[in-house]
Parts: sequence; C-alpha cells; structure tokens
Amino acid sequence: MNEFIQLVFTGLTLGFIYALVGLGYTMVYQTKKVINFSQGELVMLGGITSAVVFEQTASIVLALLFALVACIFFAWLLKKFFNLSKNSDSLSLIVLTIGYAFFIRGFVEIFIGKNIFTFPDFLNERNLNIYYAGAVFTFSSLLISLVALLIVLFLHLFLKYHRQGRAILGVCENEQAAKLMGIEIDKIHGLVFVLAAVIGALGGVLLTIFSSIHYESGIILGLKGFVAAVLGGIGSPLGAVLGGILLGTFESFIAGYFSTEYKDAFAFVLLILVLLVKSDGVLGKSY
Amino acid sequence: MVKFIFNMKKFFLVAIFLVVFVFTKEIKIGAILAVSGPASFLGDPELKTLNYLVENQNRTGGINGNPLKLIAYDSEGNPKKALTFAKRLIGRDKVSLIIGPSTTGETLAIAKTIERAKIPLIALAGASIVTTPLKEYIFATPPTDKMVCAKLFKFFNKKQYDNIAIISGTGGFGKSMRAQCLSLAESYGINVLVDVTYNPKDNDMSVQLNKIKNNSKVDAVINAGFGQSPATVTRNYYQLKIDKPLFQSHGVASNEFIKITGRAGEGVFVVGPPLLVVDLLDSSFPLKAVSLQYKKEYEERYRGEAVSSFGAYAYDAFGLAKQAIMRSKNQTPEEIKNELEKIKNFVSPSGIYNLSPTNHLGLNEDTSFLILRIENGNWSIIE
Repeated sequence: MNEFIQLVFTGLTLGFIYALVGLGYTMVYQTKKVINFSQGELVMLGGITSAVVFEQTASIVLALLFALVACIFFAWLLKKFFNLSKNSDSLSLIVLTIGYAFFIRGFVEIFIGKNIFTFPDFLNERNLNIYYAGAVFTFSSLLISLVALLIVLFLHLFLKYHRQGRAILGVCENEQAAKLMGIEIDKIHGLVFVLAAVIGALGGVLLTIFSSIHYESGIILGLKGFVAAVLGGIGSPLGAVLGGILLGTFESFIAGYFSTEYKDAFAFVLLILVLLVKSDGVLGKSY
Repeated sequence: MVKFIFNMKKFFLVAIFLVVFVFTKEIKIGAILAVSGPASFLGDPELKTLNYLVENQNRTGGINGNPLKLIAYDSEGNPKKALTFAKRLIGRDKVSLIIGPSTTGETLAIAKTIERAKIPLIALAGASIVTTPLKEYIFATPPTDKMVCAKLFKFFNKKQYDNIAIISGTGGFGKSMRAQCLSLAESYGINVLVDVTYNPKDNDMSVQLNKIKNNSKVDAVINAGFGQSPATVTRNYYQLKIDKPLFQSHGVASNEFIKITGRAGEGVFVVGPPLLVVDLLDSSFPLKAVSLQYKKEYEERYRGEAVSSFGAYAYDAFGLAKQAIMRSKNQTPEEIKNELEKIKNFVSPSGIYNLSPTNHLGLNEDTSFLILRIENGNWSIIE
C-alpha cells in the first residue's frame, strides 16, 4: 500500500511537470499550427537561468524575473525567425524549431556551462512536506501541481472572457476570417509566443526547485511534454494536463512494478495505442 | 674570400644541425583524448596535464637528453574517431607510446589495432574490462569500480553492515559498478537484499528508494551513479527520511556535489580519491606529497581552474611512461612495454602502482580511495 501511494505521488508530480511543458506546445499549435520543438529547451533555459541568478543574488524574485525575461527573449527571437520565413509551409517552420532547439542548447552550453544546477533547499522543505503512510509528497511537488492547475484555470478564463483571449480563439478557428474582422494576426501570434514562454519559464523554475537541471535536460523534457500534449489532444490546455498526468502515473507504475529500463519505451507505446484508438487524443475532437 | 668564409659559416651551421639531429633523438608520445564532446570533462584536464608535463620535461632537457614530442588528437569521445587517430599515430606519426583514450568504449575500439601494432598504450579509462582480461600492450591508470566496491565492503565488514541495498543507474557507469559489487558481495559475506535501478535522466527516484525504505533489515545503501542522478537520489533519500547510511560512489567525488545537494547531502558517505581532499590528508599518507605537487603545478599553470582526479590519470600515465622510457635503452615500443611491466611502488596521485607482466593496472584500493563524509558543508575523512 505504502509503495502504491508513493507511485501515485511521484506519478502526479512527473505528470504536472510534463503538463507544464505540454501546455507550451499546445498554445503555439493552436494558433500557428506548428509544433514548436524548442519548447523543452525554453523550459531548460528558464530553469538554468533562475538557478544561476539565485546563486548570485539569493533572491527568488530576481531569479524568476530573469528566467521570464530570458525565455520571452528567446521566444521573441523565434517569432522573428518565423516572420522572416513568412511564406514557408508549416513543415519547414517545424524544422526551423528543431534547429532553434539546438541553438538554445548550444547557447547555454557555451555561456552557462555543463554543470548541474539546482536551488539550495531554501524553504527547508522537509518541514513542509506531506507524509502519508510512509510515502512523501514534497512541498515542491505540491507547488508544481498548484501552478499547473492555476495556469490552466487562467488560460481557460483568459481565452473565454478576455478580449485578447477571444482574439486568440478567433485566429485558431479561422485566420483569414479573423484578419477580416480586424484582428492583428501578427500581434496575436506574438502574444501566444509570450504566453508559451512564460509557462515554459515557470515550469523550468519549478522543475529546478523540485529536482535539478543541466543543459541537456531540455531534450527529454521536450519529448515527454510533446507526448503529454498529443495524448491529451493537442490544442487543448486541459488536455495537456490530463495527458501529462496520464503519462506521468503510467511511467511511475511501470518503473515501480515492472522495469525502469523500459519505462520510456512503454510511455511511447502508450502514445501509439491512444492514437490508434482515438487519433485526436483523449480530449481531442474526433473527426 | 668573403664569399668563401660565408660558405664556411653555412657549412658549419648545417654540420651542427646534422650532429644535433643524429645524436639527439626526438621521442614521440601520442595521445588520444576526448578534449571536446560529452566526455570533455575527462579529456580537457587530461590534455592540459600532459601539455604542461611535456613542456616542463623539455625545459629540463627531455628524457636522457632526448626531447619529447606530444602528438595529441581530440577524439570527442567517439570510438570511430579514436580508431582513426590510433591508426594515424601508429602508421604516420610513428609514436613510441600512446596515452589515452579517455573513455572505455574508445579504448575497447582500438584495442585490437594496438595489439597488432605492438605499441604500448596507457589508457585513461576506468572500467576493469580494460585490463582484465590482460592484453599484452594495454595498460591503464584509473582506479576501477571494482576497487570502489572492495573499499566499501571492507568498511561494511568493520561496521557489521551485513545486509545492504544497491540502487544504480541504468547507464554504463551504474551498470558496470552494480555488476562488480554484486559479484564481490558474497566473498565479503554481504547480502544484497534490495537491488533497484533507475534511469539516470529521471527527475525523481522516490519510487525506488521507497522499496529500500520498506525493508527494515537493510543496514546501508549504495548508489552507483554518475552526473545528475546521484544528486537526485540524495535529495529524495533526504525527503523520504530514510535513516540508513547512504554511500555514494566515486562518480560524485567533487566539490560540486556538496554544493548541489546542500542540506540533503549532510551525513552522506562518498568513496573518493585522495586528491579531492589533499589539504586534509595526514602528512604520513603516502600520496600526499605527490598529490600536493600536482595540484600546485596545475593550478599555477592554469589559473582559476581547480585540479581534478581525471587530470590526475594523465599525470599517472605520464609518470609511468617517463620512467619506462628513461630505463629503456633504445626507446623501442617493445622495450618500453617491458620496462612498464617492471615498475614497482610507483607513487602517483591516483595510487601506488605495482605493475607486472600479469597485472597492467597494479593499484590497490587501500590507498587509491578514501571513505569520505559530508559534514557541515565540507569533506571529512572517515577512513
């Protein structure tokens, strides 16, 4: 029983981390119909920047601020690249994001280094953890879960009730029509990129508080986040969270009861199975 | 007349050059190191160490009056490139001896070529498989994971930790050390009650550690891992409030580990090389003097860079090579290899080498490793 509870706790934490990465994919895909494969690297960049800044200034506010600025800057740069290749189809834009992922990774490797970064345990977390039947749900896990849920709630309200949010939905539905209604498409794309960058930065900072990060962490994060987004039905924020939790708990149970070595393989098999049965993901519309 | 004198001058110059050329023979040492790429943390300090050692040696007249020439190639940790460079060093550069490669995979990739060419190789790769089974021309300097297990088990015997748990990464490092520890355990009378693994890229190992926590018979826990994962294990171990002693391997033996684990690292045991705690060593410790000297030389030459145990492997290799070349008459590869096998009680930062025709590593875990513990954010030597 004790082991089962730990598997659930760990699975949930992993799931919310994947969800935070997956949300970034979802946002960009909704409007631009492009999978931004550099999203995982943005998460890594946010995490690593915050850890470096915290090491220098010991201020969590400054650390968060710098992480946000760094991620928004790199997202803005990607947006500029997209604009430069205006007439390309989405396939070449996707390839562009893969190249951009390598660029961010190389940038961090050269200018920040290959060390492992993490936050010192500044909260003295052990006093805040939730212990239940010998299993532990750490305070940082709780933080990750809360932030992920708050982001989904915010996105939901924003898209439904805010003018700009509704404009985003408009662009999703039909870009041409939105243009004719006087929505500035380019601005909306910019807004979406910034939102994705902010979610990525938050995810990176939380992950670094929970665990640790280094310049190569973005690869696997990006991959798992992508799976989470697709599992849940790409394009739906709530789907990304559900997909993340599904993937995280599944992985955790495979690792706990079956094999650590083949855990990742099983995760991708799960993806194939879900896509076979319901090609648009758990929450996606079926055609 | 003037012209004639001028010609005489020229003639003498040429003559002097010829004499110098004939009587002093340049000794070529090859090196294949992972200076860039994923294993650059090994190759970079190794190359820096060799560079300054060769420079210093040539400043004092080389070996027996013959200058040394270091021909180093960057293999980027890639076995294919290592093989190309090994062939180039043997065929084109005609070196007398090769130092490197930095990683086990590369060393195994070039082993056959080296054996065929009969050129002595001093590998800087840490797996026991490099020197056991014995290969005639292949030597190695780094202490192995098998020695780490032996060191731990001796300590466990003293503390009467008879029942242990092993948690290990599924990467090359963790796999190899897990296998070595499992095969040695019985001969030390130690039972491995829990044996769990994790993916080194994972962000959480609570699930695996929970299995260890649930077994109340376990006296001590060993983690065989490298890089980011041992820090995660340490952190989860602390969060789960497991009250058994945790032993980390030589894979984490750096000051960086204390920094990234913080509060969670307090009280964790680490098997580490003496070089890491050189300032804390007792002056009677046999490796203290040579380790201090290496640290001083390296940190003076490369300001702002701390000495590492990886660079020390190159220091050991150069020391062994120097001694063998000094004792051989004609510096042929065959002679150098035979002289290497005669080296006894050679004290170097990674240990005391006693080589023989049947032992091409010749280290002993008693001096090559120490049991350290993190106390108040600093290392303390337990044994």
